[in-house]
Amino acid sequence: MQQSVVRNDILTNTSPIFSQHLGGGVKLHIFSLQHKTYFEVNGCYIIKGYDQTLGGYAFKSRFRYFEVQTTLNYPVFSFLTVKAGFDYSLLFSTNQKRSLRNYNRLDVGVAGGLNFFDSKQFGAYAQVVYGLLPMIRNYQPIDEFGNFGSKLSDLKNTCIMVGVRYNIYDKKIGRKN
Amino acid sequence: MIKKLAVKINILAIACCLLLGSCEGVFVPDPVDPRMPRYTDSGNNVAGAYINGNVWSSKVFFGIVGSSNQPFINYYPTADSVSITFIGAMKDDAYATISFGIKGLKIFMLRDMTKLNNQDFELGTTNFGGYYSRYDDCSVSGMGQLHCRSVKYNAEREFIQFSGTFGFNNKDGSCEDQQVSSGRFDYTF
Repeated sequence: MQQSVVRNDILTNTSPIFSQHLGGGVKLHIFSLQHKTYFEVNGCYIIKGYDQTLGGYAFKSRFRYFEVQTTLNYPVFSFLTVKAGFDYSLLFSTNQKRSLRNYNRLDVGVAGGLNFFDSKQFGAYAQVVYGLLPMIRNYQPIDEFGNFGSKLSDLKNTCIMVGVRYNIYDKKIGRKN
Repeated sequence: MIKKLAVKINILAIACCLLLGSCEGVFVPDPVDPRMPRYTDSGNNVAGAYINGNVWSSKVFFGIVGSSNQPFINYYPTADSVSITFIGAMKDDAYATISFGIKGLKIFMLRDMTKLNNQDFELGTTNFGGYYSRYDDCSVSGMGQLHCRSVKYNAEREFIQFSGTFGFNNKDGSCEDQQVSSGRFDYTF
């Protein structure tokens, strides 16, 4: 699961949410099977968003993404692996009717985190994904007299993710030398 | 072939309205304040504004026996004036209208409304007025602006898509203090 926060300068009365993600991945020993560093590709379905209170009414904004994450991992100790890389998300639906057209479909972020007991059958992970691209697309605020303001690019995702992993294939995949 | 497809789509749309018992305006929520519709110029039949900080919104609803919240235009050729009225409600369901009076542009029928395309008007002057009415009619115009951003006339089916933004204040004491702000509308007349 994760805590999702939307960084912004324009929304009022928002609060982060806790939500879920589910996926799988593969570790690739692209340097060699003997090399400690390896490349990891993960894909998941993830829900991000925020809650907002306006005029006494509560609004939930939920954004459903398919996410692919590519990281370079280095086992510091036998039980602890450090990883860093990039995160690519594709927005495919929202919970508010017709609001999908308001948002950019692609999000790119930097990812960093820790894997615990990576080589065991069961392990855990904790990571942060820091979104770089704005979610809002071509939005112009309207001032009190109906004039359009400058076009806005705002709302960036930040996710703090924790979860458990299950290894279904325990042989190394990669270059032999 | 395209005409046949268009006819089939229209028949399907009408059938859906009849079967489902209703059609309604297309409300695209504003990403900053989802209580308000985002400004669009597609004839979505919605409008919104803040009235003294509270949300006023309008979404046209078409039923089998009639419609609700449908805006209307009154023409007064002898006075060379036209009034445009939007019907909506506050969040507490209190009925309220926002209307505009425009004079001196020789607008006598629907297609003349294209004269408003891409025009801005200062409200509270001799020829242009903005009015908010909730319980009692208020005949004093607020001071502000009306921006008619898009007026598209369809000659074949005789309708217009009319969209724009507005805002005005009325603090002259004759009516309750009114601040109508960040208004936006997108209608098909």
